[in-house]
Amino acid sequence: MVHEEEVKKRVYDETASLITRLALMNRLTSEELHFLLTLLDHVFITNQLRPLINVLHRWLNSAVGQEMNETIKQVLINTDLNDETQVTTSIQFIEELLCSNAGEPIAKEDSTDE
Amino acid sequence: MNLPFPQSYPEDVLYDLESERRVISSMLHSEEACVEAYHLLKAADFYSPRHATIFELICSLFERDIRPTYVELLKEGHSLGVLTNPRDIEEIKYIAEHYIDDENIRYWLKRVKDKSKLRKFEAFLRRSIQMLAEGQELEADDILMSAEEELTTLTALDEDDSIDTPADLATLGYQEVERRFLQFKEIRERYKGVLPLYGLPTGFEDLNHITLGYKPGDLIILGAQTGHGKTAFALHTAKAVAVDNNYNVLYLNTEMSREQIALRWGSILSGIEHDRIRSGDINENELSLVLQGYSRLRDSGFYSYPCPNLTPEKTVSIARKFKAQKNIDMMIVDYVGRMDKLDPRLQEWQMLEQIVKTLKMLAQNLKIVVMCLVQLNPDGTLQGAKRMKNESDLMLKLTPISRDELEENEELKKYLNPNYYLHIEKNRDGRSGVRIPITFDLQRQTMKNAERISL
Repeated sequence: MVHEEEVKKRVYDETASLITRLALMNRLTSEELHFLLTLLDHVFITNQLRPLINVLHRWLNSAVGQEMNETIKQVLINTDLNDETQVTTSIQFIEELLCSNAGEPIAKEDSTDE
Repeated sequence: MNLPFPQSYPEDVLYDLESERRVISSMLHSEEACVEAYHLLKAADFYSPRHATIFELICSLFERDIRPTYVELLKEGHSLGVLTNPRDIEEIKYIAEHYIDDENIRYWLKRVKDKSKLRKFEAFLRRSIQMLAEGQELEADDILMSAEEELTTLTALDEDDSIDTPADLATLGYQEVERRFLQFKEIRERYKGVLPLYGLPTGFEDLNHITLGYKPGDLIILGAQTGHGKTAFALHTAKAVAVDNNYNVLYLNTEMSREQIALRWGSILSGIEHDRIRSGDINENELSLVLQGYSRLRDSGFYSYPCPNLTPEKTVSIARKFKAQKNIDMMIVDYVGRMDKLDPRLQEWQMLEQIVKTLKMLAQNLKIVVMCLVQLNPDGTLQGAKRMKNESDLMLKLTPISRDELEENEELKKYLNPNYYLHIEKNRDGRSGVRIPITFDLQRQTMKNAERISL
């Protein structure tokens, strides 16, 4: 258990450093850095945003075009992750985009595909 | 024997980077460490400029009540443009990763502080040597006096301490009197003689008049018997200070739950009997009054911290945190008799003495008003009263007026419904030995000066 905690902490530290280094190298914008670091804190520390993580997984596993990738990225960056309503709205919107891309019926909110 | 002034020293004599990292790392992982470091250290105490910057970033997050995680630190640094080098990030990462979960934060803080003092001492020596080396014509007594003053500051005093010269004190005194004179004159002309307060409002007109308000650095002790209005007095004070006048108050309660405290406010702010509020026996109009009351509480500066296991140390830590984050003007401890003993060998009076001394120091260091509530014995006396009185600036007692006294005391007949006395047992800044008749509405949990019957 202790070992698991240590590994988690190392992943957290490494990921945060990587994101910040990428920003220093101008490979991430300030908004992207802010979003990714906030997301990281939510995932590791508050352990919230499970539905958002699920939709991000779905996004990663789906083959969407560049234009849609950009749209989803903009939606995420403009979402205040501390605002539950905004997060829910964004999840719904991204779900709709992914479903329309795959030609599936729109999935219900909070679908857990862990 | 002539020794040249050294150009360098053995490693670690003037700095200890490991201790600096430990302090920063502890701040990233523990709120308690944050509170301690925030109050004890300054950025200048760090030898490494990078550590000093990280420390400032953490303090800035802490002040805004943002938990200073590694990620928040990176975000803050990036947004302020102070983390511009990958080596900065590596350093923070190294610090965050090499945290060892120990409870020795005070040891590491002391190490950092001590090294900082040694560096100042070294700078002092260098300056002194430089002065002699320049060969100026100097008065030996002047040099020694100046050196002694600097050394005293390094050894005995904190940096912020200063010694008032006779001239300083005379100027300060005259300015204070002149300010009050002009203010008094203006009040007399414009507001028909109502005296202005120099501190926080007490919630009682007569007490305001006698004390001119609770002042920063004051320790106020209020004693009452069980069931005779300690909490009602505390919340009445909090209402006057935080709700009616929007100052920030931290209220520590050792025996009531969050719900109980919240319900009491419902009654105080709506004027509806507490029993009816508790049972829900109210009509829709009254519910609307309650809602209006709570909206006043929502906009106020009242911070509540129910804390059944309160110790003197914890009190210090909480007060410092709230001073840093909410800039509190006052702290109310309700009540000290319920505080946990740190040392079980201590007698009751010894424990009370220790607590009261701690609270007085806290009031002075944080420049806030501290009010602590104590329980009176059934005969109206107070355990350890003499020692408490010594420490306090204002000592008050709340006692019920007996039926016999109400019938026999002619003076009391001039008031409308007086049922309690507020005794001023000690007042460092003014009159004491005074009894103020007040009306305590137990059902509505409200208090006020008993009104004089107009003839």
